[in-house]
Amino acid sequence: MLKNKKLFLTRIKQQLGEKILSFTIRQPNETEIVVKKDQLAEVCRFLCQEKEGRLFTMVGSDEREFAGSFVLYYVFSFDETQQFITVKTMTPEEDSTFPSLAAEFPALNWYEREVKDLLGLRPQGHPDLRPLILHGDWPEEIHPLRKEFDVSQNAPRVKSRESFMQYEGDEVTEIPVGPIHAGIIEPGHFRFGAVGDTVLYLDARLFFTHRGLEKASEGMPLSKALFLAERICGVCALSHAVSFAQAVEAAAAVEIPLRAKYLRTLFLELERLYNHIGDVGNICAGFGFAVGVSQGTILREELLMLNERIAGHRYLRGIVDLGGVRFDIAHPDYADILSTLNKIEIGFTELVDILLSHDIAVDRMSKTGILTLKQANDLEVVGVAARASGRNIDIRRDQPYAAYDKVSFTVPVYTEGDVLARIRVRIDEVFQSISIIRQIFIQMPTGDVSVGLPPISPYARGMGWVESSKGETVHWLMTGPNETVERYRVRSATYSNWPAVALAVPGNIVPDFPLINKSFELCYACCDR
Amino acid sequence: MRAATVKALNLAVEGEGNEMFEVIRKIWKTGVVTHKLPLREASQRYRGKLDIQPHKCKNCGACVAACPAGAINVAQKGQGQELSIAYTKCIFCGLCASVCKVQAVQMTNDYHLATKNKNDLIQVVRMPQ
Ligand code: SF4
Ligand code: SF4
Repeated sequence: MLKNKKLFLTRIKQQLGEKILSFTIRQPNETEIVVKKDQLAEVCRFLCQEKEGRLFTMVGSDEREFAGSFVLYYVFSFDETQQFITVKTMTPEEDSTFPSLAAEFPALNWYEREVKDLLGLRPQGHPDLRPLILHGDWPEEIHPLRKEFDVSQNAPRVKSRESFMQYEGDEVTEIPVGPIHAGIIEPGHFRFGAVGDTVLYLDARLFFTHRGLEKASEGMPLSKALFLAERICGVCALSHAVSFAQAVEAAAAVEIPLRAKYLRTLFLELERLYNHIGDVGNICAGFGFAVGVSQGTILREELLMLNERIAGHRYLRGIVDLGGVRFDIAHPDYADILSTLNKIEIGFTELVDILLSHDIAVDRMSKTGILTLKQANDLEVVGVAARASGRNIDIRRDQPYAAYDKVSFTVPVYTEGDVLARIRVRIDEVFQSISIIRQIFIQMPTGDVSVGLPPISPYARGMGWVESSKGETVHWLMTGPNETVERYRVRSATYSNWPAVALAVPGNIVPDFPLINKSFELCYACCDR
Repeated sequence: MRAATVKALNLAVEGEGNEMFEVIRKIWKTGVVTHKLPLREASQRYRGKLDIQPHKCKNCGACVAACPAGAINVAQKGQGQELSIAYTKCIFCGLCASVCKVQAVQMTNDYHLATKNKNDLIQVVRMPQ
C-alpha cells in the first residue's frame, strides 16, 4: 500500500510537470499542489478524470493579512490509495476573480457561488450567478467572510435580487411551498413548476438558517469552537463534533488513544442507528403508513433514552474532547447497550418485514424519485443517496478514521436510485451498525480516553471527516494565533446532496415530493450553517 | 403503480395477502408505550441544573474562564462575592463542573427549566467571607 501511494504521487508529480508551481507532501495522507489560476482547470480535470479523484470539499479563505491574497483550496479524495490532494491557488485583491469550473464539474456550482457571496471573488464563466448563501436582499458588495467585515455590523437590506425559473404559456402551474411548513421542520422554499400533477421543474431555495457559524468561529479558542461545531445541526451533533476534533488533532498532529477511538466509533454508530431507524419510520409518513411511523418512533425513542443513560444527552452532545473523549464507560454500560440493541434488532426486523412485504408501501416507494448514477457522480452525491444510486462510497471504509479500520462491515449498494433503494440502504446499514457495536465490545482496549494537545502553531491546517447518517461531513480548519480558529469551513453531507433532490423530483407527481424529500432526509441547518 | 395497488387490495379481499393481518397483529402486540405525566427523573448522567456549594468555592475563576457560553460570572457585591449562573445562556456542557478542583460546582439531573419569569433562570449564590 505504502509503495502504491508513493508511486501514485510521483506519477502525478511527473505528469503535471511544468503546470504546477509546487508539490508538497504535507501529511502522510495529504499532498498540496500549488497552481496558477490559469492552470486550475487543467489540473483539476487531470485529477478527476485521469486519476479518478472526487471532489471532497472546496474552501475559499481570506489570507490577505498573512499571505497577501485570497486563497482557494480544492480538495480531492483518492479513495483507492487513501490520499487527499489539495489544489491551492491564489487570487490577489486587485484581481478578485477565478476561473469557474462549474460547467464542467457541476458539483462545484454551489461552492463557487458560496465563495462569491461570502468572499466576493467572482467565478468567471459560471452559468448561474444568482445569490446562494446570502439571500437576494443582502447588499451585493458586503462579503461577511472578508476579514474586514465586523460581525456586529448590521447590513442594510436592499431590493431583492432573488429570481426563480420563468415559465411560458399557461400549461405550467407554479406551486410555492415554504419556507414555513406545516409540522415542525426546518425552513426551505420549494417552487414547483407542474403540468397537471406532474412536476416539471423544482426550484429549491435554502439557506434560511444561515447563521454565519464559520464567521462566528473566527478568533474563537479551539476548545470553545468545539461546542459551536456540536451545535451546527441537531441530529448529527456528534458527527460534527468528531469531525471538528479530528481536524484539530490533524492540525496538532496528535494521535488519540485507542480506547478513545473505539468510544468515538461506538457513539457514532449509536448516532447512525437512531437516525436511520427514525428515518425508516419517517419515510412511511410520506405515504401515510401510520404503523410504520409509530414503530420507527418507538424504536428511535428507545435509542435516545439509551443515549441519555450512557452519555447524559439524548442527541449525544458533550462526548467529544479535543484529543479524545470526555468520559469513559464501564461494564454495566456495555450490558445496557447490548441488551437494548438486542431488543431494537428484534423490533426493527419486524418493522422491516411488515414494511417490505406490504405491496402498497413497496409500490409507492419503487421507481419514485430516481436519482441516476450519472447524476449522483456529477454532483458528487454522498451517503445513503449515493449508495442507493450505485455510487459505492463510504468514508468509513475509504478513508478510515476512529476505529473503523479495526472492525469489519459491508457497505450496501443498490443501483435503482429510487426511494425504495434509499430505504433499503438504511435498513442494511442498521444491521451493520449493530454488528459494528458488538465487535467494538469484543475488541474494546483498555487505557486512557484522552490526551492533551500540544501547542498548535498558527496557520496550521487540518481536516476531519465523518460518515454521518446523512453521508460524509468534512470540516476544514486553519488555526490562528494562540490556538484559535482562523478559517473554518464545514461541508456537510446535506450540502452535497441538496442539489440532487432537485434532480430526483421532476417527472414525479407533486404528492410524492414529501416522500422523495424524506427518503433523502437532508437537514437544513448543517447545509446552511 | 396503480396496478400493483389494485392487485394488493384484491389479494387482501380474497384473503391471500396477509399484510393487513400482520399490521394489525403488530399494533395489538405493541399496546400502549407512552408514559403518563409527571415524567420520571432524568438519568443519573443527565447534565441539568448546576448545584453550587458556595462554602467550598475558592474563587479561582476557572469555571468562568472555561464556560463556552459565558453563563457564569463572579462579581464583587459589597463586601463579598457573588457567583451567578444564567440558565438562559448555559448549554449544559458540564465544563465548569469538570474544571472545578474542589467540586464547588456539580451537575445535577434536574431538568426543570420551564418558567413564566425569566429571572428565575438566573441563579445567584453569595460566597461567604
Ligand atoms: S454547564 Fe457549560 S455552559 Fe453551563 S455554566 Fe457550566 S460551563 Fe457554562
Ligand atoms: S466554583 Fe470552582 S472553579 Fe469556579 S471559582 Fe469556585 S473553586 Fe473556582
